[in-house]
Amino acid sequence: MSQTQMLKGIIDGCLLAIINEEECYGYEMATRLSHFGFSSISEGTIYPVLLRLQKEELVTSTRKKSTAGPKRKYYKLTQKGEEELAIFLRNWSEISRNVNAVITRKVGEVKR
Amino acid sequence: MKDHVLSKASQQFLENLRVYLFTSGKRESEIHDILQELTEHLTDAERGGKSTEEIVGQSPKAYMESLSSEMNRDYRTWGLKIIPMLLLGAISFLFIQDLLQGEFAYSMIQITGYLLFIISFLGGVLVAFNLLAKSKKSFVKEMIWLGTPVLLSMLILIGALILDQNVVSPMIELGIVGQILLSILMISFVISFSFWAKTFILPIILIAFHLPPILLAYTPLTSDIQSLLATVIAFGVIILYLMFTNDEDDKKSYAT
Repeated sequence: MSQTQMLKGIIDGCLLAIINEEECYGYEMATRLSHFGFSSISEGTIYPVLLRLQKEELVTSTRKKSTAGPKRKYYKLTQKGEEELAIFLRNWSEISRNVNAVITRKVGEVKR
Repeated sequence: MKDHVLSKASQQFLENLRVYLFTSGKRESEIHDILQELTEHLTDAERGGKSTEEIVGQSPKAYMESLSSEMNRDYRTWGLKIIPMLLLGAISFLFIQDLLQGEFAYSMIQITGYLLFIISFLGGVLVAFNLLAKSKKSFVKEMIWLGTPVLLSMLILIGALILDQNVVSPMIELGIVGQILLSILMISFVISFSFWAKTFILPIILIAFHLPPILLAYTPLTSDIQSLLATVIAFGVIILYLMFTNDEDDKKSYAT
């Protein structure tokens, strides 16, 4: 399975987490994602996700002057977005715990 | 900060995306927004030394589709603006031609033929545009893609006109009053529509095709040369108009 396939859905949660930390625009999000290690996905991938998050009213956007100078489109979480992020975090910790459990047990059995 | 000029690859991608989203019937304001955002992203990325491919991925086509699938279709603009404009353009074109030649009676077969022609022509060209915009194709392939619907719809029209000559169907005739009324209606429709749609392409095409032959008829040139000149002038005027308006658009969309 390719990373891109696995990342579907997870990227949504990561973007919510990044935006929650600080209002930011697309390029900043992409840069942060790749700093955290998501370098295999192309930067443009975030835009379809942002469009979806906006449609689901999880984020809102406004155009304003960026720190670098020119105007950029800044994203901010809505109340609904914050709730969605909490759900994502809960789901993720459960999934990662379960997946880890499965993997480590298997790896352990093979070793034995 | 110095203005960054986008690379050819990025500009090409943005232009293809614009055409693709437009022919997919997406809302104009949404197309503008996403293009602006991507232009800014590409500008920032290129300043940082990244390539277009790092942003849009290895398949621009797949990327365009993923954007498109998250955007709303704009039935209003298409239903109220573009399709009526294309239809009105085609109808007024045929209508004014007949008006100038003084032929003003239509048979049922003729009317059906015209309608089928308009529908198949518009539908085919829209589908072809949409498919073409997704990926870069060779010139020959583009011509085949676009040429097929044009050719097919022409065949339908020619078929209807041949049928009309051999089969008698009820005639619909307009008196002189009807002609004048319809002419006034058509002209005021074209003018008000142009203001509303904010483009003068329709009257430009009508004038470009119909005015030169009338003026050329007063010259001592032979009719062959007249029709050749008329065609050249018509296409020249339309191409100039498109180039002029395209330039304006480009200046607007690439300024960040």
